[in-house]
Amino acid sequence: MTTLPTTTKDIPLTEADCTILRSVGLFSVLPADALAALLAQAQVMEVSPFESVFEQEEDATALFVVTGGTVGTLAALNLQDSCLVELLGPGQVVGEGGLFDTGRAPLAARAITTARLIAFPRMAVLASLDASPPFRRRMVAFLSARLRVLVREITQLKLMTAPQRLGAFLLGLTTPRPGPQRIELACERRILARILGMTPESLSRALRQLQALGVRSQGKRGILIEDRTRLQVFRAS
Amino acid sequence: MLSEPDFALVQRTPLFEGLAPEVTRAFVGDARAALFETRTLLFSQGDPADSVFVVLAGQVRLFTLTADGRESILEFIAPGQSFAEAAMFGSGRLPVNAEAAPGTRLVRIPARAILAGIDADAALARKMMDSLARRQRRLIGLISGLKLRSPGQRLAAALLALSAVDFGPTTVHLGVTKAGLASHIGITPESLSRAMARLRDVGVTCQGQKITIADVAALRRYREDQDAEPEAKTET
Repeated sequence: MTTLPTTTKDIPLTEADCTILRSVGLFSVLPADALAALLAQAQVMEVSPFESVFEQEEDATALFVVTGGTVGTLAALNLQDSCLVELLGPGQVVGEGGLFDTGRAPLAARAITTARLIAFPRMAVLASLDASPPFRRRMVAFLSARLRVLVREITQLKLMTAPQRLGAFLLGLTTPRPGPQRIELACERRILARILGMTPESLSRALRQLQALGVRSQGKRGILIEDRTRLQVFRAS
Repeated sequence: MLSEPDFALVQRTPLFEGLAPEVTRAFVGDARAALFETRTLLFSQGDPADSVFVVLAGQVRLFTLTADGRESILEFIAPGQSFAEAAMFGSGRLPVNAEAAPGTRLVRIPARAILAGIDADAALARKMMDSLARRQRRLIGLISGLKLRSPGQRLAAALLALSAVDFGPTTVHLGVTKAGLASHIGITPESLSRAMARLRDVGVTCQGQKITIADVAALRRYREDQDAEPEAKTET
């Protein structure tokens, strides 16, 4: 029997959890009875800020769906230093990398804010994959899409300057429509700096440089983007 | 029928890497390489996702159109990379537009055989998932290297990867131009020269394509040193 993370408490699943779960493309192809069977083996976790969901290189025990708060994935080169790879919010899946191949998690996951997750035991997910061809297709699609996100991030890290990386990140939070728009950062700026692979000082400098393109800081987490197109041109320059 | 070098590129993509070559050949079937001499739109947003594409040479641009009709470039697909597979296995509709640059060669592998294979054979699907997960692990390693290591440490890591010994002196041959090496580790050619100059302090000397490492263990220590040039980290 798979052991779930020790932080798991006996927390009941709510209708809100189920609504979010139904919106997750990966699970949407499972028939209602198959999803119910999978849910019967799942557990809800509530994780405090900076508490671990799972650690890098430990044996993967579960696949997680975030239903509340923000979870960050972290990759370490050694015991002393790690970087944030991605921030995941409600409706996003984490832990898929450890389901396959070596069965060990390729990165760690930690709550950034108080987070709520549904943990599906690894063996139950693998059994569902064996039983359901549409679920298999979706999992291959999901893994392929995740690779694309990582390749895009590597390209940005290799080719873009710090202001361009920040601009690309902010553009990703906007919607493609003309006119000014205000976005809210899901994390503190020092955490954003780590996601973007720069120091907090570099982030401040980058933000100042983007002011000339109509990017305005509003409070701790608010950012006003006056002209999305100018930012797009800058990102591609 | 694909040539052997073209097939080898297809086999090395994450989707097919974990499969036996004969399985990949069955999926490729009689798909042929197509050459696009001029700029060509391959597909549009909303088209059916009925194939996976592998770029063999040249470049493909993936983009979306904004509400006011402008292009928003998502990424460039290079030789040896595949695209459109996520939509093919997922929604069945392409979420982006794709355009081949002049001179691009690519192969379009129809979805039908691959989807049938995944539906009929859970073990085969699992091999694909294992292969995709392996690639994910490698990419995560690259990201953490780019984010956490200075240019000098990245160069040290690249040279250590070429070294055949774990300690003592050794000589490695780059096998790529310095511009290619700089691109590989995500720095400019100017930063590469500066990084190479820094590595002289840990016994690395360069003569053209030939790099001499006085002590591989010392270079490994430099690669792992948390205090090595922190101000330069990722500011390339």
